[in-house]
Amino acid sequence: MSPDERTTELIHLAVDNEATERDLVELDELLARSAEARVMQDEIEDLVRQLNGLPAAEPPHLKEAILSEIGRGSTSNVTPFRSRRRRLIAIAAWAVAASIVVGIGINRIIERRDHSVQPGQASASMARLGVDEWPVVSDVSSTGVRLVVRQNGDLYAVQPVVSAHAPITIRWEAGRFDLSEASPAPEAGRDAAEVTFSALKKPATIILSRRPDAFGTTDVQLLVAGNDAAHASIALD
Amino acid sequence: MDEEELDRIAIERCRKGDLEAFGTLIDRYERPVFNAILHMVGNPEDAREVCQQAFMKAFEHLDSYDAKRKFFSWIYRVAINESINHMKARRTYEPLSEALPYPLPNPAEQYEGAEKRRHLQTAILHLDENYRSVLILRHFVHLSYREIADVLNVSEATVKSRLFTARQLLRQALEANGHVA
Repeated sequence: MSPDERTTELIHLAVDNEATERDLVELDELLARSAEARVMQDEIEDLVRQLNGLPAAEPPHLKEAILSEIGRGSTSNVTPFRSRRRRLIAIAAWAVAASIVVGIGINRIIERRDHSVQPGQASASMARLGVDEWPVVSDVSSTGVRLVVRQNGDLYAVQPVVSAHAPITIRWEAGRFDLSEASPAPEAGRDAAEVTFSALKKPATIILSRRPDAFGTTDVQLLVAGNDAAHASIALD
Repeated sequence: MDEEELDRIAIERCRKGDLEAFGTLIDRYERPVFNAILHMVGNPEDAREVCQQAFMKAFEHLDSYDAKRKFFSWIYRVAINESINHMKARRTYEPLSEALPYPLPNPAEQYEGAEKRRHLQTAILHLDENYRSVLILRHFVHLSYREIADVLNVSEATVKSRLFTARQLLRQALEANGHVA
């Protein structure tokens, strides 16, 4: 880290009350030596004062509305403050979501008939609850394939959809991610930077954990029968 | 008894079907959660909708809440995720509002500071979501680096990197508008 970057970091740590005694001593020495650093400190302190000085807005007191909705047992339908247009959009979205849920449900019923659930599989499913609600950061499609990537903090859920009944591989840049979990369990070729499924009988989800030192942009690749089928570009910053 | 303990007791009561206990959690967290969402989505009407949705989603998924974690980390995370989902859904048909409804403390402040504050709000709303969420959790919810890391499920190093970059981007935006930060 160059002296300038270190000075900047120390100034930010100090204004956030996150600096150690040692950091503060180091900062004092750097400030004593550099007029530029003192100007930067003034600017950052002024900005932080402005940010901290923005008054809080009064909340709309939603308790009664929320408890009333929950009491009616309709926790999945929040509509009282939506405009008519948004209501229509919401209804359309719910119709699509409902069809997806029904499809997944049917798929899972079929799957349960075929396989008994192992303890490890059960816990993996528990850990993935809510993955489909993570924000989508990449969604690419080409003929017969779709590759969706969702993000939740440092976790990335990779969800390939392939119409062909063929082996598929999800490959990522080694050093950027660690494999956290995969469902269904990969059937072949599992190593540090890819997982392979002989064929998908149900929707697959691969959870990748971003390494703390990984920044910039990276690609996640979908291969079908060994052929490059789709690339999802992901910004890690 | 500290707030974490009060949260834990309220959640236990919720899980036993006591709806009023969830009301106490709403009372405790509505203000900071609403303000965090308001600065994420940039529009009071949307913030109201997302805030309501976030609390209802929290109630719906209370069984999956890990009691070893702090409740506030969890509810802020739900709120940030709901905000991001909302923004992604809205992005195609509505621009962000650039004037948030702050109460103004006095006429002199209204006259002198309103424009500067408006530029600051606008600059915050134009930050990338990753930078904006860290900045909001730091300055409007007043969480420490460690707490922000817990909410966003990232490392403290990532929190620092994003926060410092966010401030740098804000300074540049304010300078571009003639407001030296």
